[in-house]
Amino acid sequence: MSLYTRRQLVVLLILLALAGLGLAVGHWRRARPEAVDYLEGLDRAPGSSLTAPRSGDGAPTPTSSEPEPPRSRRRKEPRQSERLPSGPSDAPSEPIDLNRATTVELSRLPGIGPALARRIVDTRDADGPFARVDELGRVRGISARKVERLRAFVTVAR
Amino acid sequence: MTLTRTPLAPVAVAFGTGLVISFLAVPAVFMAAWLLAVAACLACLAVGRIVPAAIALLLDVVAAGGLRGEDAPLAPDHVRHLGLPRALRVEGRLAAEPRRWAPDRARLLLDTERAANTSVSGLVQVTTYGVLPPLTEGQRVAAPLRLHPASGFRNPGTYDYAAHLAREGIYVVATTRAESVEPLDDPGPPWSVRVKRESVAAIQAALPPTSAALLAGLLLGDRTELPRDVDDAFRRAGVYHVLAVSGFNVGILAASVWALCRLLRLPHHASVVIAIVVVIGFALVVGPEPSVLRAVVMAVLVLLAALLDREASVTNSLALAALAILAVRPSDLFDPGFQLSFAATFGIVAAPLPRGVIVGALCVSAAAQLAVLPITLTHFNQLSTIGVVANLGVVPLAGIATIVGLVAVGLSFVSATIAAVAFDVVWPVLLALRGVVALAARVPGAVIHLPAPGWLAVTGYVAGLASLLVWRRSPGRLRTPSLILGTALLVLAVAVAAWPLVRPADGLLRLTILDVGQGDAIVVEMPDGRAMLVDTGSGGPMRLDAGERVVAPFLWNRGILELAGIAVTHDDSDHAGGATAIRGLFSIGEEWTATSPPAPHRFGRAVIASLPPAAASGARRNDGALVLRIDMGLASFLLASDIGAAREHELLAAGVRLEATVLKVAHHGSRSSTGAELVRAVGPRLAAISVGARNPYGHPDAGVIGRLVAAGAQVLRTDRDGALIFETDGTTLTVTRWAERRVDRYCLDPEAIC
Repeated sequence: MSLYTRRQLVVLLILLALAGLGLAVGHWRRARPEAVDYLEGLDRAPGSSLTAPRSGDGAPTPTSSEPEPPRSRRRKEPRQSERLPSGPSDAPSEPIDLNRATTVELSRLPGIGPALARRIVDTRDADGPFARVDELGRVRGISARKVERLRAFVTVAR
Repeated sequence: MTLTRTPLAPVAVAFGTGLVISFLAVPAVFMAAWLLAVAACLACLAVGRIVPAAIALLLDVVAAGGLRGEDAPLAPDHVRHLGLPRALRVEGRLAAEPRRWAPDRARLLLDTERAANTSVSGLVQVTTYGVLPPLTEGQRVAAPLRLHPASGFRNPGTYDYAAHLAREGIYVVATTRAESVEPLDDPGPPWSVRVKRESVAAIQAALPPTSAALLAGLLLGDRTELPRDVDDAFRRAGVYHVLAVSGFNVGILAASVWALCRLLRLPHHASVVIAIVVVIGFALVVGPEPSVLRAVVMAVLVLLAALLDREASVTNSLALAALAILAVRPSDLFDPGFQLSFAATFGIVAAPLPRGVIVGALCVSAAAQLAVLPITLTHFNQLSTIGVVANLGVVPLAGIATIVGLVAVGLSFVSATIAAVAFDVVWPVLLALRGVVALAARVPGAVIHLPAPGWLAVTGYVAGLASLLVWRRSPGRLRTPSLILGTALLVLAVAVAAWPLVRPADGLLRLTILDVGQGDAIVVEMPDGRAMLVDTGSGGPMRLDAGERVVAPFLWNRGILELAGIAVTHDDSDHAGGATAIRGLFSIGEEWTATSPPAPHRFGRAVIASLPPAAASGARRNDGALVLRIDMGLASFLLASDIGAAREHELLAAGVRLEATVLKVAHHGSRSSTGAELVRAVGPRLAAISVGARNPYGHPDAGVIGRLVAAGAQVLRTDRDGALIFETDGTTLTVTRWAERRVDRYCLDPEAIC
């Protein structure tokens, strides 16, 4: 009498081999996260690595549907508020991107209060992003003169 | 003949034919044909003539298909009848899970019930802006919607989005803010949605993001999280089919379940029944795409045959699957997914397969590729060269990943710890799969873009392949004639399909202002056969890329595979946005911008030249744009890009020749452009405005249109007229407004009689 039949042995062996492989890969993965990142990034286009997008030049890849912009925005905010007190004026020292700025960021701009900032964001959400700075003029309450005054402080990332 | 063994195949073909020809006549005609054919069939049977009776029967099926293919009139309370566009508060039930395609954009499919307190019906596709509250299929919601009729860009040879929506039964689209969508009840998601969500969540928890997205695509056909570049690599490698749920997944699932049951020593019949139940449950979870339905119908038929100890005819079950899907959703016949799924399956079933693992696998792969070739060319202008080989590596890897992945997802409902081990087994397989696909996609010439073949070429191709099949399969006297016929038909098909590429230049200047929504994209086909592009339409992360989706297919279908020049007049995203895609897809001779304008170029009898650049260096961006004019004989075109009043005055002061037959009106008809003096100086007979419907800028301005009309110009607009095609030989000018296919002819020589 043998302990197992041949067929049972084969099935158990396959299961054992798979479990061993899984455990080994799992250990290796958790021990070396940088190697995992490297392997995961091998077939990706250079600009679209898995690490979060740089907030500065920032258009996200078209269909990366993880909520990246909010994350990077959150990261950007404290940096700017740190810099604010030392800055010469009340406005942010580098131009802010109209298509990614939050109401908080927008309301720091000269001549823009919370209400107008809200309206800019609403217009952007309802009608799509701004293609150029001049399109700020389509927001109710922003005159052509105000656009000219804001021009130095805002950009539209392409 | 062996029709008696696959009785459903001719019926399915006849029904499909009926659906195709249903646009030819009104329902009454098909009704009459149907009655006539029934009578003929009965009469033939009565006198005992079987073959004519069978023919009459098939004609009867054609008539039934024609009748089924007719669009049913919309219900009297359909939202389409509300006098759109208008803004209304609408209540309804979500007919599908919300689809998020960007962090702050989502699509809802709303089955409407009430609008402004009157009861309505019909589907509305709602695009929401902002962060959507958690919603689920079957939930009732209310929202203030801006409703308008579904529309797409109307261009020759490009994707017809409105027709696609109509096939889905959607005639109305809407926009709203995400926060204003208000749930009216909370039934909780149906079990199928819960299973899918939890499966996807388990996969995402266990694997790095890109690999998780790939596994979700392999197992559930859920590609929403798959990064764009990985998705593109699968397309380029010609192995995209593994990312759609198809017979591959369903077959593996059914076989695994059956094998598992047998391993547990369940009786044969019980195992088959369990497999049937699991396969149907799987279909409910992944959703009703045509490829899923086909695979499930076929799998269930094969399993039923096993239950009844009969041998299933694969061709017959394929035909039954087609009939069942088309009877319920006739418009699926025109859906690329349906066509690809059935063609590939039929190709594999029908092709003669030699023995030997490698050769056999190559032949299966080649048969599928040959069968889908006319479909990928027609819909995507793509010919995959690497696909036959790439599939040899990809299919086994995808198979292993699917089997182990299914086990892992199943285990995740029991214990996340055990499932993690299984997911770790899948991960190296997924990496290998991605590696093979990335390599295959990088092979130069992996994908060749070609014009879509016409129906004549496709018919010739299909008939040619069928003849060759007869040659391979049937013995005796049919062999030689069918070989000759098949070869001749294939040669004819290739010749017809290649004609747009090799036809000689016709000596006409053809300028097409494409309908790209808000933006400019103008294709100029020169009399000597070369072509150039002025502006590329909008692009960028948040919009549809007009360069890739509109301009490129238009060029391919015109037989234009390379551009002599591309002019990007200025850097605004509605003009330059599509340029990246165009540069990647076409070989380009010269690139012109405002800072490096073209020297006067001669293309046959046509001359292209740029107008003097803006004087002031600090000029506003629009005013710095490149302005081009093209002359041929008496016809001339002035392409004014986005310039405003200041640059117009400069041009007028510079004293250059502005007079033109056709004026591409500056800046989409903005009120700050196209002053009265410029209109007088140009004196256009036709003025073309490239502008998006319902754009937020108020373009085109009524004052601009008034000035143009007052100067005697006829105003054409891409938002109303679709693409505008101007064709001239130097003395006459033909204008086609694509939306209505309306053609007008203008005589340019006042002395001559055209």
